[in-house]
Amino acid sequence: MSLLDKFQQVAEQRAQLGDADPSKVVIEKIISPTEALIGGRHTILAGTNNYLGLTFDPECIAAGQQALAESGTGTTGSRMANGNYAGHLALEQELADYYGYPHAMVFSTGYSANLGTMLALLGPDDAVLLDADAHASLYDGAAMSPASVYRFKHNDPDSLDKRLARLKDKAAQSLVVIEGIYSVIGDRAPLKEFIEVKDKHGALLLVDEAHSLGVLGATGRGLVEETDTLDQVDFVVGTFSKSLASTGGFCVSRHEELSLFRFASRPYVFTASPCPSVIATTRAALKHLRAHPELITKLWHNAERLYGSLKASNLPISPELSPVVAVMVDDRVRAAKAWYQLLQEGVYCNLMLPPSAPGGGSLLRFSMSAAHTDDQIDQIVAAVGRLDL
Amino acid sequence: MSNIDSELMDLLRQALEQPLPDLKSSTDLIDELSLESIQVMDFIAEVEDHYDIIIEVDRLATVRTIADMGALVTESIE
Repeated sequence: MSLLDKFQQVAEQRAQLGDADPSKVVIEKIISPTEALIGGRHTILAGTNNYLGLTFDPECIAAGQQALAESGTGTTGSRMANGNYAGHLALEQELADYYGYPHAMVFSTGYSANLGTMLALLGPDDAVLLDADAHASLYDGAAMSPASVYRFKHNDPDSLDKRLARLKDKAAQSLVVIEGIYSVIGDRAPLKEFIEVKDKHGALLLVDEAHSLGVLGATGRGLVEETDTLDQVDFVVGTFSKSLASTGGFCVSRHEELSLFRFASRPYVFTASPCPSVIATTRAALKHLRAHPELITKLWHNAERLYGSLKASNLPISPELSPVVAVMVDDRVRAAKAWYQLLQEGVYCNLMLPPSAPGGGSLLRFSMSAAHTDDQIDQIVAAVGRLDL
Repeated sequence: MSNIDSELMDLLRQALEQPLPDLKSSTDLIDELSLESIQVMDFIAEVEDHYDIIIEVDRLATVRTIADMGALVTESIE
């Protein structure tokens, strides 16, 4: 059997999808944060996680253009080998100020922020316990570390408590990993209850706010702000690629030791640093978020409009109000057909098939943006209403 | 069939809200019961709580049959 034989199964699964294959989508022209031309058709974008709609913000674009002109297209190497740019350090300082923490560390992607933080932190005598529905990047960070890896039931502090108790003395050398808002069905973690459990056992807690930065909290700092737990959580990681409409990731912490992580984090040391224009647009977007909290209000208005309308239609949707709204579909073929029908009708959302969706089911995932109009949301709802689910 | 395999079959019948064929130690959870890998992982969490044990994630990937799971439980209890 060849190493390549396993790809035959992948090819067969792709072939079953036919045209209803998200990997075949080509965005021919991006028109605005919420509209694109796909297959020659004007399409509403409802699957981009562009929560604040800042991808076309004039200040962000101007900052990126200026950085391109002044600092060039790329850094051509890692910060450890090729040096820090002033923008890298400025962004880290601005993130630390935003959270009121002593330190921040910037990574080239959100994925590498999770890997880089966990690989710096975890040694062979340690344990890491992940929420069952945690993102693949968190599982990958755990799997690549030398620590023992365990899984607890999704959003279940009692399940975590039992497992930490079973680890006995090792519980105090454990990292607990959860998310602020879970990306697939948009539910949020019971953070205060998890903090109680991790404190009881002397463990540390990492919260991935990839989908809650710019979404939760009065100033957008995520679930840690909404629950007033900034002084109790140990590490917050996040991405620039959603609310901040750029690419990259970060870790912030109340612990002074974070400043030393960069010397022990291979995904940080051995990756090219973010290019100047990316850093510049991220800084402009963060500044914009801090100056315009009304964007968060608009985002939740839009989330309520979509979630409320779909719920009123008695569709099987995700359990709680969130800018991420999932419509559950029992059968993967029916889900793929529904996704394709929406695309044909000018609505782009995300198709999630097993094992990506919790419980082994399939779903259609919609993400709202502050930039969506009421009319666009009503069009999305009408298109979903025409599906045969 | 070991006692643990038999207990696991009872747990499986309780956990899955779907008709199941006759279960044997050799029953393949994915191929014969059509479970997704994530459903197997979720079921193992129930097994952990039943026996008050904790199993590392990298061991879970090796579980295909009820007997595989039984062996893992036995090892963890010991």
